[in-house]
Amino acid sequence: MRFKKSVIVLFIFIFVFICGVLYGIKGGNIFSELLGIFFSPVWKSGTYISDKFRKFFSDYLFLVNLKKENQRLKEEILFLKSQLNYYKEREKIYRKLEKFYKLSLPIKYPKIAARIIYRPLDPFSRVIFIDKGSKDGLSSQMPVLASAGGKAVALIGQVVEVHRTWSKVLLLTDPSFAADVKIQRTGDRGILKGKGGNMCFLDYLPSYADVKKGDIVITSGQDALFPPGLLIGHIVSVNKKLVQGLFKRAYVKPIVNIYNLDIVFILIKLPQIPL
Amino acid sequence: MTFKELILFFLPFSILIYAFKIFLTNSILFYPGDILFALAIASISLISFNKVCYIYLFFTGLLRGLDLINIEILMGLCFVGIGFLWEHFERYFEIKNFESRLMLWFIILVIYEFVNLIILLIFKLRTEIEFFIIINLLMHSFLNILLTYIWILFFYYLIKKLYLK
Repeated sequence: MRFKKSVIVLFIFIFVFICGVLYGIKGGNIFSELLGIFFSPVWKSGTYISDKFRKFFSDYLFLVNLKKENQRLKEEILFLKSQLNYYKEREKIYRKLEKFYKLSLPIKYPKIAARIIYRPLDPFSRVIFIDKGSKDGLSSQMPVLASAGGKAVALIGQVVEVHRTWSKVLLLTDPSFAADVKIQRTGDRGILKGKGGNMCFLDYLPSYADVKKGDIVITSGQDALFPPGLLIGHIVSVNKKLVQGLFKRAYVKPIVNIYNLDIVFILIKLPQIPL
Repeated sequence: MTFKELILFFLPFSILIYAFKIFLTNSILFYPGDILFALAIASISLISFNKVCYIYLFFTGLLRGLDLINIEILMGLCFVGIGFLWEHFERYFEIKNFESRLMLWFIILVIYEFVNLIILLIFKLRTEIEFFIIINLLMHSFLNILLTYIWILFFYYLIKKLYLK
């Protein structure tokens, strides 16, 4: 036992001596060297794993952030797209209004633009609903115009029912609609009536009237409702047989495609004679 | 039909169908027939008829009349009249099965279209009645009857599934 103790003390002494010598020669620390030999693989593997671990989490967090960022950017794109569409729509409306304003300069009456809010398409009543009513100054029997492809302004109907915030417009294709019109080329007058579909009749044309296919029909201004010179449509056919032996009848196609409209214009014009 | 059923199911359903009709006409520009009348007829075919039904019919008639000019209340009354006819036809002819209902729907629909034409000709149309106008109205009526009949069948099955589960 004593031997063993003295051997251990000797070994410790030698170890301390060697350590001192090595420290003196290399300036190193043998304990650190020894710890390094044992623990370096552990450190390396630990570092490697923690590096990977940290990288994984940082990547994950980065991805999460990226996803959030992506989502945010997508939302931003959507928002900008919707805003762009909104502005495009506004621009379209503005262009339409500008065109209409230029085209309608000869019409001296004040005009109100209205948006079509509903097209019932009822076969028994050709009406449209607009978003302007009595609070905007509308009243019954006012003429309603629309832009025909940005090239002309044409009559499309008449206000028939006025509520505070909305109104009904009777289209010129409704059988109840009637207007005093004339053929632009010859000046022959007749009464325009709706046919129910997308066509109108032109009745009570004089038998001697020289009416041809393609002739332009405009309002005559004699009915006290519509101002003179408003474009309506063109003749598509003329009946060869006289009606009641005295009058010719022609078929008129309105120049405006009524069901593709989104904006109409109401002329603030009251009937000139009380009806 | 009880008042609670009217408020909680039938009136909201009518408004929903009206909104659907607005969407349909405004998006595809096609007249889908008299949807509200079809809904009213399909509804009263499935429920026990009482006085509350008349309120429901009047309301759907008002909604239907919005598409026409100045005859909303008249359309409401027309719907009530059709409901009155339905109630009595059902009782007198002892309508119980589906086949006889099909026939009765057709008769009611034709009567309704006829009344519609009368209302239109007397109250609305301010022009002389001509051959072309009559032909036009008859063709529209035929299309209307056909489309509305299909809608009645559709609503009959829909309400049966939703309401009489």
